[in-house]
Amino acid sequence: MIFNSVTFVVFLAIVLPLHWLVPPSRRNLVLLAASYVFYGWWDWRFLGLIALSTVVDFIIGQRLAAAVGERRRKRLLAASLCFNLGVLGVFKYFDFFLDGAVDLVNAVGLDSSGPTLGILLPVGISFYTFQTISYTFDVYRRRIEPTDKILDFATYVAYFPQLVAGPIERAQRLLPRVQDQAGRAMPRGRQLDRALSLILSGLFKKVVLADGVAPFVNEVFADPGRFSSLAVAAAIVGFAVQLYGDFSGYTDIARGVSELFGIDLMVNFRQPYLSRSITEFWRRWHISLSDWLRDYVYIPFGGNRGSSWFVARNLMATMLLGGLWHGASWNFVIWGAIHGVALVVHRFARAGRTPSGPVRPSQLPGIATTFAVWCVSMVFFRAQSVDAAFDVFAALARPSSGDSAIASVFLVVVLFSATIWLDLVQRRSADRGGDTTPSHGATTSAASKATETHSTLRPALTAGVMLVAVVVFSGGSPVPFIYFQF
Amino acid sequence: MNPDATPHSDTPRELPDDGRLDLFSTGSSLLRWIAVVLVVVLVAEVAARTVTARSAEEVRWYDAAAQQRIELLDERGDAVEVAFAGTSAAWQAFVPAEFEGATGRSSINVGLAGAIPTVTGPWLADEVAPRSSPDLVVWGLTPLDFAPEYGDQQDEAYRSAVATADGWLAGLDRLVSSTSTLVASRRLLRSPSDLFGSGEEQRASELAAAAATTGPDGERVDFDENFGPEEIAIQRSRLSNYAIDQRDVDAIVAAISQLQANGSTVVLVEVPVPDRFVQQLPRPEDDMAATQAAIIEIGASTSSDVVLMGDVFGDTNFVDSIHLNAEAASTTTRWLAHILDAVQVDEFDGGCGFVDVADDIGFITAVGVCRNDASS
Repeated sequence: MIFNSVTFVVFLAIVLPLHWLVPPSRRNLVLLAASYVFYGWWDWRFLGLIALSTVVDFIIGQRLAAAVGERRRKRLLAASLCFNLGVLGVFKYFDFFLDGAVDLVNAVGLDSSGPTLGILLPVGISFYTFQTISYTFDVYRRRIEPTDKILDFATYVAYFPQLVAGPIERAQRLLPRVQDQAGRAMPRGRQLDRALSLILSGLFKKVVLADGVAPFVNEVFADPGRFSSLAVAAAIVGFAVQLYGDFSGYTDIARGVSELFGIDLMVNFRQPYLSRSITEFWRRWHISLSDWLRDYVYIPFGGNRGSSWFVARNLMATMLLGGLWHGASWNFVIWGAIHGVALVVHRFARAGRTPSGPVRPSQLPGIATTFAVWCVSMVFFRAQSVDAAFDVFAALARPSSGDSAIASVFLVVVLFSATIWLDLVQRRSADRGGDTTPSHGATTSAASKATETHSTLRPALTAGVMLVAVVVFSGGSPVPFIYFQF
Repeated sequence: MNPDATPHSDTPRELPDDGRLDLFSTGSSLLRWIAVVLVVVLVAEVAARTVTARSAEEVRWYDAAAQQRIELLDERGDAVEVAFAGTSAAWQAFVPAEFEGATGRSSINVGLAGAIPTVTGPWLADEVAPRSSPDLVVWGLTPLDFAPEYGDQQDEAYRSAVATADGWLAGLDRLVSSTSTLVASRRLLRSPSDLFGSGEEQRASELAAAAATTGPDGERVDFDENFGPEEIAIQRSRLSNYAIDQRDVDAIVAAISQLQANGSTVVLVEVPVPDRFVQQLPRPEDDMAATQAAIIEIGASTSSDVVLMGDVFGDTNFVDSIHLNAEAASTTTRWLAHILDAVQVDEFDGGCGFVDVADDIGFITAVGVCRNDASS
């Protein structure tokens, strides 16, 4: 069940009224049942896995709270990590490491074919596993009190709007919102406007930006040698547009849907393509993952403490793990390495300066450089193998002779411009403190009415254009979100 | 990853606002909001009509030929008494003007390239019958109709075509498309090349090719000879692992049931194929016999008459490994008219037997016939 499908609309039309009609004490029961139906829609067999993960971390959380000795607490934490990382290892990385071991054996001259189990990857396993790990970690660190209600905890782990592709919410933030069933208010007024705005902008990003450019990107990455270097370059930029539209579109819809249930989810993207450095980029792209990696990998490794060499090592290790989090393949390892190197280089080149404040035209070179690094890494992210990625680079470097696909290049330019325009509008709003409406200084009724008209006109015009675009780009089979595979 | 973090900052950040994108206004100004959105939609609709008016027509059906056949059916309406259907073998084999000359019954050929039973079935029952209510449907069949390795793409093409897609959402799409160009032409509008570039040229050439190879009564008039080795190889791959695919049998039975409920009589005709084609079957004689047996069984189970003409022509009567030449197509149609007439005037005793037909030089051929429909 994906957000941009009729099935999900029907699902939401049933669950949403039900959630608000039942007594407040039953709301989490509705949310949990709905979440399990939502998840089971893909493959009901993996419901057992998420339920097991929930029970194990709930029990360990309880025992951590009761445990007195540090040794026992460490053992409990280790048990949780072993279980969660073990599950992740078996389902996500087993075949990858097995293949690597077989290659190693073959490299030293021994013949081994090695069994590949072909294990199915449960949707969203990386997201909910990181969520449960953060819960146990935070209970261990005494940053949060463990919940004694398994229903609340299970709802926190399986909450359907963010279950399969994040944001990766911390218990410290989401659990209190889940627990406060009576305090949840049905969205009205500005909150309802905001929820609907998020859903529409998410649909626009997914259906128009991501799915609009996807056919051309797929075509070029399938056979880059057939296309001119211009078309290949456009396809790489196109994939950057696709990935951002797809993932941030998903997040917007998730946040909008969640607000309809009275629960706000964290911001996961903050106009990343306007970042002036790679360091700033990672504060604006997939924020929930980068924060998670910072708190549970980078800082435990030592963070910024120690010599430059140690900081560089910590950055590289964190980004390599971040790459592997995305998937068990060398492409993601290289992708992580590119970002690790870029962060290290930037850290030592910038001499402690980080750009801040509104974006200025003079900062365009920094924005362009950051985007170029991102695009290079995107080739490894998108290609099916390392060889395939180098095929793309080879086609990019070759003198133009293949299909120029001018019409598709034009489409990429249009959709890229729309992406940047969206980021600019939101960045301007953020720079003003989150308000896109005109200032409210008018005091006379005429001025007030003019302000009101103006404040309706711009949202309605934007919404109208987005709706028209969604209609124009809709109609095919719903395309699954890219991050569902992680 | 935020490398600026200090060891003491590892709590989830309450982030500043991500920059609101205000799109809705559901409060007191809701009506104004709706009015503005409606104006935007209307402007887009006008723009869509203006832009698409200069572009080649979009193919919304299974293929360009199907689209043109629908136009022909709409034009003829109830005036059609006999409809010929099937794959391109049947499309080429039956000449409506010839049939009309022999029987006086107005005819049309609605055969489509690659239209295996899972395509021809819904095409006849859902599109042809409601538009023309033919008294008689002649369904031409060859081993290709039952081949498991052939037809999946065609099946997908039919089910994904805008005009024939399954599901209530597709139905809603068609309903809105009937009044809105913005919705109807959105596939063109989102693709500059389809609207103005190579896609438009390709669409225009597909429509022109369909018009050039379709006769005035819908029959196929592509008689270019093609005896190349590639053509044989294509047939061989289509016929590999040949067996009677039950999905095709079920599709024929279901469609006949619908057509009969609509008042049409159905005759199943084994369309002539050359020996060159038969030899591409894994077990030529056995597979041809299995095909005939399947057609006879379908005829018996649906009370439909069966005419078996699979082997009545030699290789010289074909333009390639499956399509008849113009002369043989005319002869086939005349023979069919004679056989159906013979059956109707009770020259045929019932059950399965043979009807003699004569060609232009008086050579007699016995054609197998099974009489199952007592009402015809």
